[in-house]
Amino acid sequence: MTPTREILWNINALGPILLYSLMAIPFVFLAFGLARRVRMWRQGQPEDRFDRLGSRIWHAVVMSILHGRIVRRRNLAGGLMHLAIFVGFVTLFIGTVIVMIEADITVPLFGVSFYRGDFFLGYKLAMNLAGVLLILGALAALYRRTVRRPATLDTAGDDIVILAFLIVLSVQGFALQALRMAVTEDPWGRWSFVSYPMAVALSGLPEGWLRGIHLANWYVHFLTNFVFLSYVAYSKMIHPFTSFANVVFRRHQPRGALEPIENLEEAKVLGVGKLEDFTWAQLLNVDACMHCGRCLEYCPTFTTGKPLRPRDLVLELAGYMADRGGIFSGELGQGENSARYRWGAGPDRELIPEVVTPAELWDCTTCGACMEQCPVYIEHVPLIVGMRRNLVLERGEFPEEVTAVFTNLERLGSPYQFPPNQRAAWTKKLDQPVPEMAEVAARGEEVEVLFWVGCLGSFDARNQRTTVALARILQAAGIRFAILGKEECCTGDPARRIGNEYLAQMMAQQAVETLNTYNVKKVVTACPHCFNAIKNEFPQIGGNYEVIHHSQLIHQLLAEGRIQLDPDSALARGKVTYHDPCYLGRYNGEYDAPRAALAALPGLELREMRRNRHASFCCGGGGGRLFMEETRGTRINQARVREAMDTGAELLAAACPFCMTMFEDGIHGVGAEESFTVLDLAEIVAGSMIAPTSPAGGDARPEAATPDRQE
Amino acid sequence: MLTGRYGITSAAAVVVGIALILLSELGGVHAARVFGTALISAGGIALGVLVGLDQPRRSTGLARLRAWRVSLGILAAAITVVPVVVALAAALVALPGAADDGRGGTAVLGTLIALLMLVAAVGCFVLAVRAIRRAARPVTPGDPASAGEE
Repeated sequence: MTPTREILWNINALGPILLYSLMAIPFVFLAFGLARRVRMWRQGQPEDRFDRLGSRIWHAVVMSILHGRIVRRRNLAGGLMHLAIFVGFVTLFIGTVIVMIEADITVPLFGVSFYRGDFFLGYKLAMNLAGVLLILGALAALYRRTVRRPATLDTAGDDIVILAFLIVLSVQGFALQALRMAVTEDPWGRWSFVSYPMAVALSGLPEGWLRGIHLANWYVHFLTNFVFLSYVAYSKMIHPFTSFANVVFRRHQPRGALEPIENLEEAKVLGVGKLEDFTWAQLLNVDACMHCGRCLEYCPTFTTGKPLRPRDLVLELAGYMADRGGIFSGELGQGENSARYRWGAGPDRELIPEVVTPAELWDCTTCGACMEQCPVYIEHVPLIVGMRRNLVLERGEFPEEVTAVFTNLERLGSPYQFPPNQRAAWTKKLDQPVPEMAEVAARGEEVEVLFWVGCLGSFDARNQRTTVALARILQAAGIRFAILGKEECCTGDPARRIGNEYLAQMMAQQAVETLNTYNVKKVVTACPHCFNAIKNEFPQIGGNYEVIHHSQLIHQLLAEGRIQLDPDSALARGKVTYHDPCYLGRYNGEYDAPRAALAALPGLELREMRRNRHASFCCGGGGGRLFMEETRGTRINQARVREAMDTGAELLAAACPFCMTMFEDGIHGVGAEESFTVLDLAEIVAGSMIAPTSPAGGDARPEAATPDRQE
Repeated sequence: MLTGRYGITSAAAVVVGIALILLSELGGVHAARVFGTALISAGGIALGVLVGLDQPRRSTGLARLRAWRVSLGILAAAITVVPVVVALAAALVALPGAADDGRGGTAVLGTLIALLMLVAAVGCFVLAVRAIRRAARPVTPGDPASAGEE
């Protein structure tokens, strides 16, 4: 006897007639909802995201199946829960299609049946396993949403209804199988390891009862499926479509590069002042949010009690878009359209400040933690910077403290009120001269590398020490380098992130022209913000250079033995913790070089902070926040300093002048000046360097590096 | 849009598809079923896309549905759950009879599974009704905490 089963057992002709005829209804609802969404996205500005479509789709498929951004070590329970639901649901869906192929195609058209034998037994086993996974995953999700309720997880009625649907559909499936087997008593019933025991329990009932209950359950099961399918496009269950589409059409440019406003002088719209000013891909971004709250977990503003919550900002926009797009088929302007979004409150509001408040926009440090964590690649920072641009360029509204920054950038080429001719003042602290590119070019010489000092490294007294330390390392390694001196200017990074695209483009253009004048090929900098701008944004305007961060160069010099460290130096002992700068780590993927450089000092014990590498916590200084007052919630830099101190380290290693400034302030803020110190990686290495033997070597110890360390 | 060429074609596809299903099930021409299904699906999808891409307009029918959504939701939840609850409860009732035929252990296990599923199904019904009722409550704009669990 070959193992198989009768498809549509106990169902007369009316069953399939209704099943197939009514199938049009869920398809109409599903297609309508999806088309309405596409229509909403098309309100946005054009943007080409159709390049390399094959690889885009392939990557999205792989990411969906492997759950690459969903199952993560720090979200293991939630990730596995979603994986169980996903595997269970997809397997059951495939199982349904297999039955359909057998019943509707291979048998009636070709007389071929494959739904039997070993395949059938494996199928039964797989379907039971999938049902169990789906039920357990959905129950875990319900527990998480209704009992545990983590602060980052927001639960709407829709979330519960979806989970209830999934559980009930699975239970119906098991019940149907059990009722059928209670009558047919399949000898291979044990392969259905969940339904079979229930079938045995049910076998005590009269056959007529079993058939009656089976019939009722069969009709309700297919109707439940149809209602569920109809509900998909108007609920969170749309996410297999929107999230997949969002991953397919995600931005492929370097993450650290913000899109410039093209033809700024002639642009009719500056930034995003209306929903329609976003690009279609950004509107898809907004629609893809499933309010999982992952973006909140590492967000420096949410975790320190500030108004900006990246998830809520996206949902505010989603609710607003639903209001304006008429997703539920009402007229444009139906408030009910946003019923799914608790934030939706009508389409007649102004984007800023009624949908998104300026406080939310100015809180962002552009650290990128939200984008790094988002399972569906939503890019929050470009959304925020787009709206900042509108505030700054169209309305002239920005925090008062930023006015001086803009003025200084415009007049002096740096955020600070120092004249350009003081940019090289720090070189006087060195024993050896540091040539400027103008002199080098005048002599007809070339250098290996241009040292881009940056504004903080040039003018800020604390960061000048890092600059001096790096110059000493370069000199000790015998690298032929030069600086731009008074010809250097800001890269435009703070202006661009604050939203002053006009000023940012002006700065960047000036910098690229200078670099191209000297035919610069390779640039080293100690500032991750400059590093990111030169590496990722200068190519937008014709500036293409090999850019390395000083941590990478130091690591390379150590590896090549071009600088030697003294393992007994005062700086090379004790416990140290390293802070990953956002614009070096998350935006440019460099986590190892700074750690490798620290590891070259065997006396230093590296202790990682709880949030490190891609999950690092911001210092609070990015996105122009270094120049703004922090008046709401707890201070971000103090939160990070406390976390660093919790490791038991006495020394915090930084690799960014912005972080340095924030941490110096944070250490004072928490009153830990006596017990905790922050030093740049260059200071630690230069302070531990064995003085070079070359006659021009000089003293390699950085000025004031050692005294800062509390021994 | 529905009165346009594509709309009429799509609606016609659904009608022809249903006719083929009738032919398949009542006329015994089972080979027609897959074609009927394909036409119904394609026609339904096309209709949905056409209306979805069209300019949104007021529909009194949908507005009424929206007004009744809480009652309809609760009714649908009840209809969805009742038959399966009956089936699972039947497994509990049938246990004494089933335990006599030498498969008592398996029957007890089956009853236990049925009981767990029964609890899950009823629990889902209760949670879904609460969620449907809560979702219908008005929410103060800009105040997410007022409606939620945070």
